[in-house]
Amino acid sequence: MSAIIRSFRNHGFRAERIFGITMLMSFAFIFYFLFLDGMSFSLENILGRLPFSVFFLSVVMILIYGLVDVVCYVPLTISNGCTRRNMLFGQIFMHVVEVGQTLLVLAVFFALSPVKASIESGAFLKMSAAAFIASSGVSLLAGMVVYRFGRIAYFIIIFLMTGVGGAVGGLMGAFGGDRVAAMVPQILQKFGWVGLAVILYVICVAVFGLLSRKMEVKG
Amino acid sequence: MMQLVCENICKEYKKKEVLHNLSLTIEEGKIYGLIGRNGAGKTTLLSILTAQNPASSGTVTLDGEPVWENAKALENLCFSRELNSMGVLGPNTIKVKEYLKMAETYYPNWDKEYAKQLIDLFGLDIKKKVSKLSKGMMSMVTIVIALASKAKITILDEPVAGLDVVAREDFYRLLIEEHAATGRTFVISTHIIEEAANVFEEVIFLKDGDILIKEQTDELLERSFHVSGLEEDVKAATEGLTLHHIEHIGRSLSATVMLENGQELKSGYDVTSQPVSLQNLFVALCE
Amino acid sequence: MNEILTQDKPIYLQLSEMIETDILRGVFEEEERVPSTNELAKLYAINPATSAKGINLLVDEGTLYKKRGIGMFVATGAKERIIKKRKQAFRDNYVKSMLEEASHLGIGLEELIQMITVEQNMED
Repeated sequence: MSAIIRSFRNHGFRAERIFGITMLMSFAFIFYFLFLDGMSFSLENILGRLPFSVFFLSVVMILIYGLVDVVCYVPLTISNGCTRRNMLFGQIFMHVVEVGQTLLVLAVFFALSPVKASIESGAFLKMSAAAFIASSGVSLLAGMVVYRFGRIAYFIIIFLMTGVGGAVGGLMGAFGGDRVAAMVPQILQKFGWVGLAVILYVICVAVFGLLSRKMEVKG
Repeated sequence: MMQLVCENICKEYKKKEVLHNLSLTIEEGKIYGLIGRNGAGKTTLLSILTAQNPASSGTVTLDGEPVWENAKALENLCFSRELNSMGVLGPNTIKVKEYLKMAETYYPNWDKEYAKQLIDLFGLDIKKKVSKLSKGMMSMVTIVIALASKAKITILDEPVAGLDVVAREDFYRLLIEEHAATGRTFVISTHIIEEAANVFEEVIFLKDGDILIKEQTDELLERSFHVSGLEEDVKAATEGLTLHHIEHIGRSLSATVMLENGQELKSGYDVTSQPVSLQNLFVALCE
Repeated sequence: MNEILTQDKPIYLQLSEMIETDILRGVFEEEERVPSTNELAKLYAINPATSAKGINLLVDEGTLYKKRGIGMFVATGAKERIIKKRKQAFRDNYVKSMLEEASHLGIGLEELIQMITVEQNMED
């Protein structure tokens, strides 16, 4: 078994774990809110909320768990003699497996959902894919930052995440003529949201790859 | 001949050089002891030798191939270091089971049976989280991973740090048995020098990022003496030699000396010359 | 065998002397097998290179010989050889040191011989 296959195995196992936990949490989420809303736990109600629950939680979990993975597990794999290159491929593999599985499950839930939402399934899935891919990329860098700067960075990043979403939206609106803001619609037109997310992901992977070479592993 | 060679290794941390131009060769089949004070740079050196951390300059090669980012070379190297009960995000909640699973995944020659034997021998509860382990148990996990990895060159960083004396003796015996059975190369860094002295074929003294000594243990001890007597007599008998760890009481003087090739203590003086233990030699040289 | 290793002499020398003593005591008879390098290493928790050195010393002196594939054996005439070696060592270590120490203490040769005779008589 070559080194890279071993890497895939190890990271793949972690992908499954994240996926499993996310699914569990999605259901818990639904039950909790159904309970709060005083609604019954009928199949219809559950299926109605499932797609959005999974979507929301997956974005959050991919980010947070990805971050934790980089902080806790990546140094461990390097400690065990994995090269940084194979680790990087392993991380990418992990993201692909996670995102892929989640999208598949989402497509199924969306199809089964009795609630025909305001958004059509194709668009919804594209949006989800974009969000998941972007989240994966950001988790790599966020994890690197936390690893380097410690626990405080962890809280700063979580805090920032909540702020960034609103901030970006506001900025885009305010500086309509800004170069960056102008670039985005162009890219969107060409590649769509998914394309943008993939570009973001590639940039994150590249930066992460470069940083990981200098990364000091302390066991 | 599987040789791990490092040449001109320098390592800087925040403008401070912690390893100064180190070069050494680790030969196949030997058990090496790496001895140094806290902060001497042992762990740094070992992590560079196993490509876990990059050197600021210099090369590390295994059989002539650089080890950095070399998956094939890394298959033959194992660096088992002290576990931390605290991680970056708080207490280390990874279970021992997972550590072992990781090691199993990445070491192609991992011996599961042997690992199980050792776990039973040590009475380890592998379902426990690392943060809940005692110091002794953490050391034992380190040892299980190192031994069961069956890596050709296995490096252990302070493996006996948390162990009581009986467990330490067990470890030395396990080490010798495994070495006798497989001829694997071992490099062991430790503070507990005297017990381990008999186990090391070669010993390396690291002081403030420099290699003071790298030599066969028995040869080193055969040429090191503790000389004591009347001050003038000692000085005369050790003329031309460097005196280490000089101690005065009244008119008497004692010092540790090391003889180079062909050198001898000058005879005819009433001085007592005794062999030095590895531990005392190290302390003497650390001054 | 089963003696404790001390710090005052190289380990390999202590091992070879231990084996010699055991040969004299009859723990190992001539043409009998002695523990191998690895067995000694395990028994005393020492590096096998050290035990090998001790055994090789005895092989060089002709006290032990190797039977390919089986192990190390005590040579015929080993007992005699060891006694001869120890007599020489007795002279080098005990007798010479005794003379040196006596000289330091100002004990003359006659006084020394008297001391020895008296001690010997007391023994008998």
